[in-house]
Amino acid sequence: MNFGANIKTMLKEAELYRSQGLLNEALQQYKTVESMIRENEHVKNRDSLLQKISNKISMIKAEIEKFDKPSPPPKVSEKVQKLMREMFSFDDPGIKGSAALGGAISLAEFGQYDQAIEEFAQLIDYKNLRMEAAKNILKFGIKHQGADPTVSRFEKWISDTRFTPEDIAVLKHYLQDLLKHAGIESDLDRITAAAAIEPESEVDDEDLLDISAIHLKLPKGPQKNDKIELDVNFQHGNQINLIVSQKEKGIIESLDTGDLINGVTFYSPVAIFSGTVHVMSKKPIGAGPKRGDFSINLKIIRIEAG
Amino acid sequence: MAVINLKNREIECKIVYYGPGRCGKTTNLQYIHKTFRKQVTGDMVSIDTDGDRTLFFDFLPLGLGKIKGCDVKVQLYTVPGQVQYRSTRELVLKGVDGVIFVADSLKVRREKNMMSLKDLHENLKKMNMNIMKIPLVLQYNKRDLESKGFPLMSIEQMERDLNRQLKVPHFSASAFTGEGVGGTLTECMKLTLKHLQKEFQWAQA
Repeated sequence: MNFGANIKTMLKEAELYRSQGLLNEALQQYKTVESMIRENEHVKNRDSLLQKISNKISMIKAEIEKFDKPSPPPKVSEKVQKLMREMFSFDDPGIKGSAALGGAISLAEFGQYDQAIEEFAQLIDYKNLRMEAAKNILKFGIKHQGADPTVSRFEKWISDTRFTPEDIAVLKHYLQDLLKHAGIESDLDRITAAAAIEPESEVDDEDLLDISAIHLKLPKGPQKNDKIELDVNFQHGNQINLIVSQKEKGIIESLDTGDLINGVTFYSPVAIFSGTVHVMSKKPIGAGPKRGDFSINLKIIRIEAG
Repeated sequence: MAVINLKNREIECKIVYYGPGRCGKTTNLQYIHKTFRKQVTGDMVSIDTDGDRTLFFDFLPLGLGKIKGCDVKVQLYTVPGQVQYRSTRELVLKGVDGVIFVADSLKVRREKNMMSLKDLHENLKKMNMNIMKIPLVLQYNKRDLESKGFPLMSIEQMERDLNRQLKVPHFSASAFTGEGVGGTLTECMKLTLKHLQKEFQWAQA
């Protein structure tokens, strides 16, 4: 085969590879043809041919780059999520609820992290699945959301009564290993020590009036500095309980266990006064008509004079 | 892992299409979906990128009807072929009962075929399965491209490269035209059901 015919065949092949989606093979072929033409000065229309090949090479390189570029896994439809849950999880008849745990693991493995973490979080309510669910939240949390939100989630568990101190010790060790493996430094000892300290209340239970509602400025989160008013669900001495509807995501995300909030106004049937509260706990309600809403316990630490 | 319910006389097994990227695994399933309408019992699920590359898996459920007194259902899956989706391939392969290895007949894909077969071998090994023992069929795909001027490997060469030790059934095919697609699946189903019969004695005499 003469030089021209050979080049023609090779170019045709390169285009055929491209049509098959075999981009690396097409690129390699174009590069070979390009160097063959460069080495032969007698090729007719040499410059324009080289220009055309160079354009092709650039286009293919751009396509390859697009495919090689790491991108987060797409969120799939509910139907596909159901398939992932059912087809790729294996039920252990010895462990009640293992299919739900397996389903959530499957979702996470397929990159459906948000949905998976939501499902793991629900499984924390079940004693036999609690630790596995928590470990998976930490594992996939580090992978998907990074260290800070995952450590912060762990921090909340420290004051979550569903976890025993022994559970927290196991989870801390597990998280420490995950962070170390990911090359991330984090002082979990300091976090666990700090979380154990709950401020003492200066308020005498006996002196406190019945509080019907409170008014406060949200300290952080998506609704930071928003002023909100919440009804008190019940009061026990210097501790008050609030129920926040699950629809109020902004409020729920702005209040975390351990937060100290100043400038809170307390409304009682006979007086209005202000002070500081400590968020003792924040938990989703697992059963009953308010299932999914959040129960938030506050301790009144201080009452401002005057 | 097949689900065998002897009381209800039902078998559900999983066949996985394996092979290098762009070898035609999804095209095999598309052809089956289009052609074997009677056997197809649900929608074909495909999760791919905008460049038409399989991202997680393709899924197609089939019902083969009564075989030896049992209602046989088959789940067909493809794995993503691109090298970077190794962990997804492992996940899809979990619980597999039979494998169809789709090899690309293009000369330029020779090495990729061999690498993908090695990858299959390693992934099966991780699940304590043996490539020499699992029901396996080789499909030499894209044979139709010869007429379009693509340089293809000969069947003999592909047999030497991929099947010298395995010695499993092989089929020439073109998933694009449908040639060999049904034959490959039928053979894999036969081997799989035979294998399951040996293990679980499900068939009625």
